[in-house]
Amino acid sequence: MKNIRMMILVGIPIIMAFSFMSCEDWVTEVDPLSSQVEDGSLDSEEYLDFLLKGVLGNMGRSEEFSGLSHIIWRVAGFSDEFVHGEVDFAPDHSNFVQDIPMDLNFVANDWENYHQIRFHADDLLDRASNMTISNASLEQRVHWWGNVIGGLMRMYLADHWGLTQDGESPGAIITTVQQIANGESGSFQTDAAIRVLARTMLTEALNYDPGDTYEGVNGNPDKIVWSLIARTYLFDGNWSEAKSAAEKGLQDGDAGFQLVHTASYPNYMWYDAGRNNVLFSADPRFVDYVVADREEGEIISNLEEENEDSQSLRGPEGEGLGDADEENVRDGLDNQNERIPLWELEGDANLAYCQDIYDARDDYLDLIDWREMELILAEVAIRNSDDATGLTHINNVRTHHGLDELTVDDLTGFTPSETSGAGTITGSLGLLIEERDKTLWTKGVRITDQKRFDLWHLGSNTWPYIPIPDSEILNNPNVTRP
Amino acid sequence: MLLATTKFFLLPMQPQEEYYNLYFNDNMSKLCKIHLVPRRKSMNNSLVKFFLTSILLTSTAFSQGSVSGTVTDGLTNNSLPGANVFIEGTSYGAAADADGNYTISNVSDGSYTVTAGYIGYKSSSSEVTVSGGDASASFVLDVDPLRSEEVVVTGAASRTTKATAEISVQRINASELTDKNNYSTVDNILAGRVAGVSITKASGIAGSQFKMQMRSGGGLNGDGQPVFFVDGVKVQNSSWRAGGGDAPDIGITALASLNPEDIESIEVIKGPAGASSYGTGGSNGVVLITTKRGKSNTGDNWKMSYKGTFGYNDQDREYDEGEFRSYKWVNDYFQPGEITKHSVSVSGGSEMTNLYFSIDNPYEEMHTPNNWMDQQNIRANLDFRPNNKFNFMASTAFNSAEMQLPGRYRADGVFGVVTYAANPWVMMDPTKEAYFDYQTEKNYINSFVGSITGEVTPFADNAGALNGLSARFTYGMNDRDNRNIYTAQVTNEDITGESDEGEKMISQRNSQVMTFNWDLKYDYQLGGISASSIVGSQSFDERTREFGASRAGFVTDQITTISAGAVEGETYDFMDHFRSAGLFTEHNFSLNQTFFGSFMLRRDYASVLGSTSSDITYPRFSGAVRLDRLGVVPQPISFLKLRAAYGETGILPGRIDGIPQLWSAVNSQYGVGAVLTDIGNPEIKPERIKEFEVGFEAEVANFGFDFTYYNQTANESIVDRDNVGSSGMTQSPGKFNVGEIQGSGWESQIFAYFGGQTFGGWKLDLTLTNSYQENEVISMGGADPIYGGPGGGKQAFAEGFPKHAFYNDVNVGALFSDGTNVMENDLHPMYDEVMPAGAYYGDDVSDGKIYLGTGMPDKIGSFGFNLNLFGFDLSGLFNWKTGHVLYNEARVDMIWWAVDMQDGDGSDPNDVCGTNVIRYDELAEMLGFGNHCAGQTELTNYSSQEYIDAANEYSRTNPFFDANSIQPGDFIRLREISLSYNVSKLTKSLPLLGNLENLTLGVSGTNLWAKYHEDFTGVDPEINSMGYHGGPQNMMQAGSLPTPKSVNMFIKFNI
Repeated sequence: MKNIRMMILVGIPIIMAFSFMSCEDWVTEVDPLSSQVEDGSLDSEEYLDFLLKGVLGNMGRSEEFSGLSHIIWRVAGFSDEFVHGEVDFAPDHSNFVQDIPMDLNFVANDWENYHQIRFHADDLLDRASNMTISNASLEQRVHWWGNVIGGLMRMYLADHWGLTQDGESPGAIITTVQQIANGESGSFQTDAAIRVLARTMLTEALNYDPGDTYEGVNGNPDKIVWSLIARTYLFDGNWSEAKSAAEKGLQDGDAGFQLVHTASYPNYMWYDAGRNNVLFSADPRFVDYVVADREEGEIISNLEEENEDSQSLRGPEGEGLGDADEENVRDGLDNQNERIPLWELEGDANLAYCQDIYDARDDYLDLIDWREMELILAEVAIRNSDDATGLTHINNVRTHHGLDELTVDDLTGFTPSETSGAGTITGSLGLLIEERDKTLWTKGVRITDQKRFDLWHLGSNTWPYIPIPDSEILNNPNVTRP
Repeated sequence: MLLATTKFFLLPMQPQEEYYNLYFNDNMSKLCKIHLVPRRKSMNNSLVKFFLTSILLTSTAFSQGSVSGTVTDGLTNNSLPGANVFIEGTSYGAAADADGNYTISNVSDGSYTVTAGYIGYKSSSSEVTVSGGDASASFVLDVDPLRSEEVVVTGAASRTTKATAEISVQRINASELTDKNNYSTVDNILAGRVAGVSITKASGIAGSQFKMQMRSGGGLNGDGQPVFFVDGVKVQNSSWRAGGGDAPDIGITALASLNPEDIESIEVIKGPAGASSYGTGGSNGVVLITTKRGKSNTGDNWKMSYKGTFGYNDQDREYDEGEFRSYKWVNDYFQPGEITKHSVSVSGGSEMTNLYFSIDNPYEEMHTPNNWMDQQNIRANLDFRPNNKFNFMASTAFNSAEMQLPGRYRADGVFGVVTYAANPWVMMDPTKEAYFDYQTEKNYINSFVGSITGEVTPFADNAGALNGLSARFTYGMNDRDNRNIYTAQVTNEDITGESDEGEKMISQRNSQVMTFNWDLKYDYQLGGISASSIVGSQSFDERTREFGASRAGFVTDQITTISAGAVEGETYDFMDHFRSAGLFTEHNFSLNQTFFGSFMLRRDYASVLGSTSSDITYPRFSGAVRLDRLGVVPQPISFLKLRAAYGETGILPGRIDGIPQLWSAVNSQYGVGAVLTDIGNPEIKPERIKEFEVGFEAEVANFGFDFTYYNQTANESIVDRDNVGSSGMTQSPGKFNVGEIQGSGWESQIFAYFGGQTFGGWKLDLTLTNSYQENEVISMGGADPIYGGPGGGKQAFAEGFPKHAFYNDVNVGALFSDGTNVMENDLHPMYDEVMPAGAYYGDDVSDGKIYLGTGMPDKIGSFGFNLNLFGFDLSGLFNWKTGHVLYNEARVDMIWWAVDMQDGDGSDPNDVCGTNVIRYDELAEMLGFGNHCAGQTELTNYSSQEYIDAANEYSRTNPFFDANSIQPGDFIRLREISLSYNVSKLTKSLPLLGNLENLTLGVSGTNLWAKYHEDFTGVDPEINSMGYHGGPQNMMQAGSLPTPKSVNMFIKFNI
């Protein structure tokens, strides 16, 4: 009996030992992932286009906190281009900007959005540079888009972000793929330093041709790159380089650099600041601009009844042209190059005005165009006291929009209105600022103009750029907030 | 000769708790003793003995007689209907009738030990002799306040009585409860009954998901959900609600498919000390649900039971203007919901085969429109025992459910919107036709749980050492199909004030869990020590498949198929396959039924892709001593057991957590491209949780005490740590084994009974359950606190604070022109000090984070009573939770979204600025911050104390500050109450009705009364709309439906 007992008790660990081995094998014999692939599996030429589409897709996404379209919308709302909501419905714009706790989600999410777009571009270039690519057009395409999107995102990081509330620390932090692999984090760099990084990538892009595989370039790859470079020099205050680059940039008649949108991937500026949803509605000064010069654009109203406060000429008074469900009324306007098209609607309390530059969900979003080059050249000239040349460039833009040409007297004698985007700046620079304000509305540059011309619209206790969030500061040992 | 040929007897060995001894003989002179495994008995001791006896005996009587008598309660002298009486060592037995009388017929002549047992009473035995006629034996049973004779689970392959258990296990006799009340889902049975376990519903919607918080929460990770086993089969308590249409976080529980009427008992093992033999699955505790099985006494006795329930759900209480400015709309939104439930079961069988079969049709409308569930349940449990070596048990249950959920605007749909705004969208206007009908969400669920369990004692006939060898296996499956259809209807502006072209999303989820368990057990003697050694395994194969498609742009509401949508939406599919297995060996020792000890080792394996298999070993040691058997315990202590246990479990990393980077294919306007979606850590290991518990159980006169103290430590805790945002690699957090958390607490239960023979016999049972827990995050591995919760940062995992701590910026008042700000918040450590200028100013925040409390209650308890008087049965349960706070998001919404609303409470479209009593608005008006319709006079003397007070209060009322909306969650609730009366005595002589046994009429109610903390302004602090999440995103309340109150009448009887 003892033997039997001993055999059983010895047998138990033997059974265990065999079972150990079978268990280990059994749990690993599971179905592979069907919806994801490991990073190393993508390191070959056949996946480069798949990766490039991912880079473009990240840039083109149009959900909340995703994609470039959202970035342009956000920074436009953060600046004085828009007010929050239907004027007095929901918190006012002042609250929206002031109340930014450093751990508020939207700030951190926006920060991550900028860098996720950048990361995908950098990762694409990193992979491409470590392999021999037999398909020449693919190689060109990959390098052009990788460098342009990488450069573009660095430019936006420099333009939109900052470290301290006093406005003295514009700039951002970039942690590279190599740093994260080594467990390291990037350090804070000034906006100027980051623009140098942006220009390096953009300049590299000039060595490549993206072809026409993807829309948005419109056959002007080099001009687009020079245009972006020109903007970075302008914001750096390097007038001569800005002029040089702008002259190589987009010219009158050139199609701009555009973000592609479709019905499924809509233009966020339309989505949340257009007829669809006026989470951001136009700052009232844009209405003032139009009322002061009705050639700037039509204000189309969709009011069902006449309203004595209506500023539109094409609303109920215009025989119901403002019905959004009808065919697009703007198609029938005489001036197809309106500069400040607006859409008037009735909010819960007041009339609200939204941008109508993008009046359809699939409108491509303009990232940069020739008009900005004209205004860069104008600014450089005015900075160099060449008002006449400056006026020429300004009028090139104005005539495109069907507006009257200005005279030198208009330029030198410019006095801003009470609500002008030029603030209290008079003379030629003031006029230029106002022209930039009107022309480059919804392009994501106003916040930098406010910084450059000391036009911040809120109090000294507010952030004049988007604050680098606590989620970065608290977890990055290389950065502290002074 | 009493018995011919080979017969089997089951006789008690020693006191009756630990082991049963199986005797068989080929004549009466030769008895061979076999230890019968003391495990997996789902019924009380007496019933088990009866079953096993009836299984093993075949009898051939010669001279026959009967044994009859009565079974009565020694306290009340009342009969105990249903008490089981059986003859030890035979299969002969009977159940007492309504008068407590029993008769066991066809008993051969001889001397016998007759034993009577009844749930909640101590068994009693009597010697009788049958000699050519009838014998009598009556029993007077004493109350067993500790229920120490009940068999409880103590491990993956071990069971013993509560009197000898070395760990804390709590057993709920669910069948007793379902006899008296109506329970929609199993969590309602558990709520408030298990010491140290907090149950929180995500919402008051039909089938809402729930969360169980065990003890001090175990490790840093996990979703707080225990593993559920139904008849040995793992059941996923998954929480799923398909995406689309702003799907709320509130899910529905898969356990809604389990019919509460089928449950016999529920056992809860709460911590690693007890649950370590379940391995990683036991990290958040284990809940073992045992369903009812067929019962037969002398064979061929079948019983049919019927229970009919009729009642309603309704709003628990009316809300007033202090809670919602739209309180009239909110109150109007609720409506009584019908409850009907018909449950029929058939139970019985023969000596060889027993069957339990039930059908059940519960239909329950909740307390709001478009919120109901209609279910069909069928269960068949079959027991087959061909001989004394084999025992097979098959369990099958099928559930078909149709579930209508409220819309999806916010949290619980329409309710979520109506509560926070007076009239923001015309679509919400209850005067409009589409108010309740705009959105629909339906779930069509088919669920199957089935298992077969085999027990083999191959050498039961042998007299040698092998007769202690036994084997057992369970193979089972849980398969669940859930089709979720969300529809936003086409609406016409003429009707609703707003046109919408509609949206439809169809999602299908199939989840499947295969369970295979086996174990070998060997019982043997080591000198005077009774020992058993077990080796066994549990393995689980889990698959989940999901598919969904959506479309929008429906031009007509006449055609609702998804193909009629013009705008193509998201389409997705998902598949996951996961396996886990554990091998364990356990060794138990018992000396003189006084000293008990055991140790266990378990090694766990689980699927991890992209890395090596994740394996980890868990030990357990435990011991107990019955001091009352050592003669050292003074009277009146009749029972005293000390016990101690140490055990470990863990929490696995996710299946893909070990893969550095995973990329997905994402569609865009540029085509389908690769996008980084998950970031892992190849070095990740499971979190390890250790627990030591010590406790005692005692019986003193008519009181019983059960006390446990525990201490938990988790290290190598997996901490989610995001890469810095500047890396662009923030698509998912990284996982690191850097955390440590400690917790401790105690649990107690006090049982008492009182009674007498006056008033026709009365009896009062009382149960008081209390527990306390505390925990502290010791280390985050140098990482900064992890913040979570809506809006970001309301709750944190932070070193030095409890898990789920509210660690927030506090607004202490306004900043005034003199640059000072007097600290007026007495929660703040700088209370009453002058703060520097700008430190706190209105909506601005600084580095003023302070600890405001935790989302986990530190004290939870319950008080239950059961009074039998004049034949009536009155029972009730109060429960409470204290020492926790929650974020009342409804308050924030109410202020934030409705701050400028012109209409007051919706009662009158022309009602402007007349009924707004929100203090924030009053203050805004007083301070001149715009017209907020409060009708207050603006204060213009800026130096007046009135202005200063208003400014300070305005700051502290500001909804921007999370801290301003963090409120105490303390509550006490009358969770259940029921009153019933067995009218059988009255109807015995009536035609038809006289044939119905135990005809009982009753009325019951749930959630009829509650008292919340005076500073709580929400609807229900026990509702936690994100309650099933792990991580710091816990304990918040959005526009979630409160728990309804429910009133039911029921009738039940047996045939």
